[in-house]
Amino acid sequence: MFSLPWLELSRFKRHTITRLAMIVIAVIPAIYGGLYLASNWNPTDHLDQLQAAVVNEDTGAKKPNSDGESLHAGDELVDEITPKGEGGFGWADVSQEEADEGLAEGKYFAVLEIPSDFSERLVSTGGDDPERAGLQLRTDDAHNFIVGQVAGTVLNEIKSGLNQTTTAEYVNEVYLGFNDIHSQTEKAADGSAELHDGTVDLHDGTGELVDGATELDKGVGTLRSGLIDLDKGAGELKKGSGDLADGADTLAKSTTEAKNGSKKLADGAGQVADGTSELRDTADESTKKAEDVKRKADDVVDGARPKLEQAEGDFDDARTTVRGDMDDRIKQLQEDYPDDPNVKKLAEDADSLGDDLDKAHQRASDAKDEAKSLEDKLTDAVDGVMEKIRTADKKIGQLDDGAQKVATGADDLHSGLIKLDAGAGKLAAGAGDLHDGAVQLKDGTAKAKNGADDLKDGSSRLVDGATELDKGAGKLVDGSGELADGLEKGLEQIPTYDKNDRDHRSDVVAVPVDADKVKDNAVDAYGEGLAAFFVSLALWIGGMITYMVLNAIPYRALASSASSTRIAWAGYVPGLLFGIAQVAVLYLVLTFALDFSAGAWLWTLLFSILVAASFHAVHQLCVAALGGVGRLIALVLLMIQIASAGGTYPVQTAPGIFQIISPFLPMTHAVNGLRTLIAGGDMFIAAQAAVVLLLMTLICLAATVVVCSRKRMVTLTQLHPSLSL
Amino acid sequence: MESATETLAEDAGTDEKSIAVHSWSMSGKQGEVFDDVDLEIPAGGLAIVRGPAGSGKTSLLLSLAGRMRVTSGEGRLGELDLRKQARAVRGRVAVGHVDGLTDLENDFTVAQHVAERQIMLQPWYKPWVSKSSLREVIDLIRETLQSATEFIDEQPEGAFSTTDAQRADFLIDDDGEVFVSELSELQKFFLEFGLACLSRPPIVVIDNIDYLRESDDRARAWAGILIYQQLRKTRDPDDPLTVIVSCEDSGEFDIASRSLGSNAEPTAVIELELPAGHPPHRHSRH
Repeated sequence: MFSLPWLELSRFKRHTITRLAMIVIAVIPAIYGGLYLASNWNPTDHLDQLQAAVVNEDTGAKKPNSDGESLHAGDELVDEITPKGEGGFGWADVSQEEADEGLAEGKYFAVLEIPSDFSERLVSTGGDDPERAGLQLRTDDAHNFIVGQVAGTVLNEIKSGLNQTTTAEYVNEVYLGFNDIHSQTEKAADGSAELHDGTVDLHDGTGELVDGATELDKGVGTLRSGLIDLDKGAGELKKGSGDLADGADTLAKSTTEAKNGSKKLADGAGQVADGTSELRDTADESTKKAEDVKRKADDVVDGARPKLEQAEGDFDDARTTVRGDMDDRIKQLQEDYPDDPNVKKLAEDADSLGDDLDKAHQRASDAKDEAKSLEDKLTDAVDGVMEKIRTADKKIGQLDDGAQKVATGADDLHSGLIKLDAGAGKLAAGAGDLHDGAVQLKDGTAKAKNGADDLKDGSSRLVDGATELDKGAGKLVDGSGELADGLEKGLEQIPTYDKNDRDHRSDVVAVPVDADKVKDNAVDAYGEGLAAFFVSLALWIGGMITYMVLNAIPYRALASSASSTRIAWAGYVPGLLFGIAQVAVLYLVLTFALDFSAGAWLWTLLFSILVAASFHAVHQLCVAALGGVGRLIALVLLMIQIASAGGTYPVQTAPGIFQIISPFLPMTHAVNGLRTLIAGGDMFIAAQAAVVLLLMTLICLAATVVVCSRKRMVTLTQLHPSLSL
Repeated sequence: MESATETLAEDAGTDEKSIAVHSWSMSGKQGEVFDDVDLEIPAGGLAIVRGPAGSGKTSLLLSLAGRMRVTSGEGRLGELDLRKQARAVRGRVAVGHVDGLTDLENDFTVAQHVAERQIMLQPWYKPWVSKSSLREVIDLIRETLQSATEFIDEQPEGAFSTTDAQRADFLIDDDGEVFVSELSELQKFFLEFGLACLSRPPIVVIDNIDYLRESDDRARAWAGILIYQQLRKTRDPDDPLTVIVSCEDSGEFDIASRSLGSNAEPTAVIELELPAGHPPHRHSRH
């Protein structure tokens, strides 16, 4: 297998000296970078060979809020730094005079002075009148400026260490307060949640209340109209009961009168009855007597005349009897019962009887007179009379029965009227009471009516009020919900701290900016920080050396019919291989001789190869285009880049012109990328640098191709060179 | 001049590989290098540019090879304009020997030279050549040399012998492991010529064949050119080799031509005499 680099290198293979030259090319960057970095690797590691003094005048102080515990911060500080060698110095605990003397002589590079009130002021942070504790570090720039700078850092470290402990104590209390706030707020949140539940219930209740009040209002309306009707009714009742009482009184009076009347009636009726009984007896006797009369008439008839005479006598007797006694009695009865038809009839009958008797007597006398002529007629007349007597007797019997019934009825009437009277009395009394009650009822209903009006107003207001209450309860629900949510959220935001957390946070807050410990992408040593710069520098020099020895382009090929791209490539590849070899040797030396380590090893190596590739492309272009002059230009570029690559101090600290040209030079990007990769930072920066370097490589290669193409054309000057370098 | 140009153009049109220049002139800061050269070489022809040192032979050859700019004149390589399409012309005209351009690397072996040229002819993304394919190329060269020897053997007894051919053979060992510094001048000449022919170009230019100090070597060189031309013509009649050679003295060509006779005759032999009208200002190269 033959390849271009191999062919280019095989030029050096033949002789030992040329073989050595190849090794030299590969090793030179390693020698350069290695030596430089070795001398600068870790200067601060040897600061312990420097002596510093600490002067402790602290008298100590009592801790506040403790049982006589005292703080001797000065002693503690001395104990802490003396064996540890704070800042790399060797510390000596000496007196003030010794320290002053030592500093002036240069025996001590720094003197740390602890004042007498150091502890007192430290504990004052917990008291009413806090004061800062002061420390003083004195250095003498007359001896060494850099050590003074380092000492300043040491002071800061000590200061922040002390601040941390004192502040932490204080802040711890503050965090405890947070726990209280948290638990109280938690209760408030629970309470508000319950409140919210309650307001929800309340809202439901007020909803029901509104419904109920509305129904109540409706009911009250109905009640009111009912009460109006009732009042009207009561008014009518009052009037009716008044009439009833009057009527009942009248009734009671009437019944009393009726009772009294009926008593008389009963007495009268009894008397009538007695009378009719006697009448009946009398009528019966009359009848018997009439019978006798008849018989006698018969006898008269039979006995003719004598008898008629007797009869005349008898009729006279009878007429006297009837006209005498009976007429009186009937008259009496007529007086007693003037309206009674029976009585009247009885009277009439009795009257007619009397008349008849008179007539009979007359007739009897006539008859006796006539009897003599009219005996037969007499008998017939007697029989007619007899018949009429019997009828009268019958009627008297009926009268008596009736009178008896009347008497009985009058008695019943009387007793009934007595009861009626008693009842009517009671009725009158009741009606009176009823009336009184009705009057009172009327008063009551009137009052009730007024009350119902008031009630209606009230219930209407109740509905309005209940509706507003419901609305308010709705708002209350929303509000209490928000309150509960807010408290819940707020609670989440109120932190709580347990003991460990509190201690940790106290430490953090005590020194929120950990200025002395946090270092992004820290490198192990000063030299490692410089490595990016020196590696770039070494590779640039490597590129220069490479194309001092190798042909930038194979000149023989220019005469051939090969393409220019091919020729440029043929000149570049051997250089690139040397570049890779240089990177490999350089990192081997750095790793094994200087204990160098990169954050991202693989990427560091690949990036370094890219750096070498771009540098070699630049050198190839310079030499191919300008030959010896190109090498001079490469050297000038080196000097410019050292100034503007920002290898040691950031380029921003350099004069403006360097900042302007900085981005156009490959070493700037090489340093940026390498620094990122070695320290292990933002890979984007490295990627960006890689892209720039790749572009530079490609541009240089393209330019070399153009150069080759132009070189194909021979000029007279080339054929007859006037200057050979 | 006009009509000549037209004729030239027509002639050029008839043969793609013929080369023709008209009023071909070059001048530098220190005066004319050459002036008003008219030259027409058909494909397969041999042009001999003869002139004293400093007469502008090298510049003329490089200008014909598309590697140097002329000041005025017209020139064509087939369809190509020599002045305007120099890049394409360079692809077709190989440089066999020009002092300072084609110098061999003393610390390279023959095989390394062949490999280097081989790689150069490949595309850029293939920067290597395998040993086996290099061996194929070397075998091809060896075969060519063998054919040349056979060709000489066939010739009637004359100035050239197989020994001459062997002296020209730069492939001393099988694998070409011999270093160039160990080769004779004639072997170097043929190595350069061989490398130039590796891309099978239609035209090869060879400057100053006189640098071969021995008169016999010069005659062998001429003979080698003629034999190779003949071999190309025989193997590939459509792709003949045109050779342009410059010299101060072409006496050895006549010897070679005579010896080989009509067996190895170029299509045409054009001789161009460059006048030594210019003050020689170049430093001696030797």
